[in-house]
Amino acid sequence: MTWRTTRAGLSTLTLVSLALLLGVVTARAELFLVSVPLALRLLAIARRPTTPRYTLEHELSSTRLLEGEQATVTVTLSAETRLSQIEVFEPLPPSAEVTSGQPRRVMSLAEGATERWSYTFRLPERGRYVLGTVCLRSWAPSGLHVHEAVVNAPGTLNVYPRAAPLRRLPAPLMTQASSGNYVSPLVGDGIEPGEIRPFAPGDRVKHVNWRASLRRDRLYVTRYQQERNADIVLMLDTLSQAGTGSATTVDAGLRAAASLAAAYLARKDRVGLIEYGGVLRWVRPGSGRPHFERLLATLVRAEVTFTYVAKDLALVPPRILPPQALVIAISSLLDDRFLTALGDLAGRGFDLIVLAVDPVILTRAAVRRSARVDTACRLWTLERQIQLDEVAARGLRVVAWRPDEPIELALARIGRHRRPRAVVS
Amino acid sequence: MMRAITLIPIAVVAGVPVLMRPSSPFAGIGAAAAVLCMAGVLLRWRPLVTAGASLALMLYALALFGARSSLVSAIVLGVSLALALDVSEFARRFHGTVVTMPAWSRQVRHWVATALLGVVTTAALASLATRVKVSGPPALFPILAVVGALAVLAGIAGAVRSARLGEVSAEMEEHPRSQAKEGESW
Repeated sequence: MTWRTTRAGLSTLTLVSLALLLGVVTARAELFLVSVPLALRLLAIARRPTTPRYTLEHELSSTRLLEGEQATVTVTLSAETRLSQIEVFEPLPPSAEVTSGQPRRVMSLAEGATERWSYTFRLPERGRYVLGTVCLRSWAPSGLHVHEAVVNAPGTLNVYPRAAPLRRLPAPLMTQASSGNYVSPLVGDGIEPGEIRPFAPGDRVKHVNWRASLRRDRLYVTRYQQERNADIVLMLDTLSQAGTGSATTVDAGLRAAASLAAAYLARKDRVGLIEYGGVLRWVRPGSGRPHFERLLATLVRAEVTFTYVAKDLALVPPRILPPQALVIAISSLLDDRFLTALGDLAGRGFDLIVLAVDPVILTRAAVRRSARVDTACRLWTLERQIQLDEVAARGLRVVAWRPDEPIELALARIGRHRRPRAVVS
Repeated sequence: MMRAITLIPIAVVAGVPVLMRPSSPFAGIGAAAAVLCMAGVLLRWRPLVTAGASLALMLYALALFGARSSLVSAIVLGVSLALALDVSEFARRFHGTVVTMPAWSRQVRHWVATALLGVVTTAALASLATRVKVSGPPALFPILAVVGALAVLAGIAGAVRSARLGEVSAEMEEHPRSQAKEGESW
């Protein structure tokens, strides 16, 4: 970039012209003299400032945040030449709220001097944000010259949906062989004592129950109940959404999915994710903290992509959708294609729970309140209740969830112990 | 604070003609000029400031009719006009921005230098003009003045035209689009 002359000089030129014109017309020397300081200001255009040279460092305090958390950016500018007036700013995402400091700063630095400053901002919406594009404008003090440059120090900031702590979760009907928190009626390796029986050849000495053996005068061993885990697949409907900004049914569903994933992973279950929308994305069931990060990274980029095509869940590989998995579908049930997919899953014998996100409350919050809107919302609520009853009548377990209430309250309606249901297609 | 500073030169620019001819019409037009300038500062729209300054300049020309020669008023008005443009431009550029103390002090030094240079140069030119004797028929003087004014304008316009005029890049103010992450999808 080179120095450019701004249009500020045109204002001065206008006034100089006017002063000279009035001077000629009125034949008064004072008006010619008035134009002298203005003409001197314009003469500054002829003098080109030297090209500024500097180094800039941009540091981001964290690359991963939860919704509403704060990040701090520290910028260090070192001048290699004298910078008489330099403006430094970083364009932030439109949703960002600066909480302290300022991303825009004007300073004057001597040659070799260094300036370091920081500012803090909050991102209320989930997403993957690219930061680190810092713009620098060197100004001549008169404002008649400007030199622009962009320094790219790219850094990505992932803002994950906030997960609420959940204590009670729907238990899966079927468990897997891996070790987990579900106590199985089958005996095997575990820490929950199951039964005591006489010692048999092949039993391990460490399982001998010495107290029972001394009392009965014969060797007894303690058998333990197996501890199993489960496969949980969270299926998120991104075919359509209601609401605006970060208060949409998809965003509410994402927060619910993040909460459920965190809670099930804490129980040593394997959790997978299917984003069912215009684009079918999935994450294979897994466990552990890195897997939670993987799930959150997928949830961050979930969005509604319009399509006329209904994706076939038969194309999802069994390793993504294990046959004995508990599938928790999170949907606003606004699109019939998702209901068809759910019917397909239930027909294939999956243990299925539908968490129906209420779109009415989010829509009502997005529009201006009026008697007509209230009536429409009440009618919509009634229609929705009928829809939920119809879905439940088909044998699917549906639980309605209002996004303004804790998700735990909705999950409590499911109950901890469930029985398989016959599905009517 | 920036906007408050612009009040000083604007008040002087609007006040000089009113002080020369203290009357209600002059005060009204002077106030209108000041309001225009302040509106330009508040709305950060340069043409309004220019319009207000032009109005004050025309008011000054009116005030000069029938008045005695006033070198001081010309110097004060000229320097104030230059400062009003400079200060309002500074306020426009850096509205809502943190300006560090060294930057402030450097800018104030620039304004002081601008004012001093304006005063000294104008006074020197005025003194030079009183000593120069132009010989010839008096009917030629207005033509000479017009030619001189046109020559000055042509020179300045040529200098401005040869410079690469342009505003700051608006696209720099926007945040670049966030990107999607690669992943397993179908």
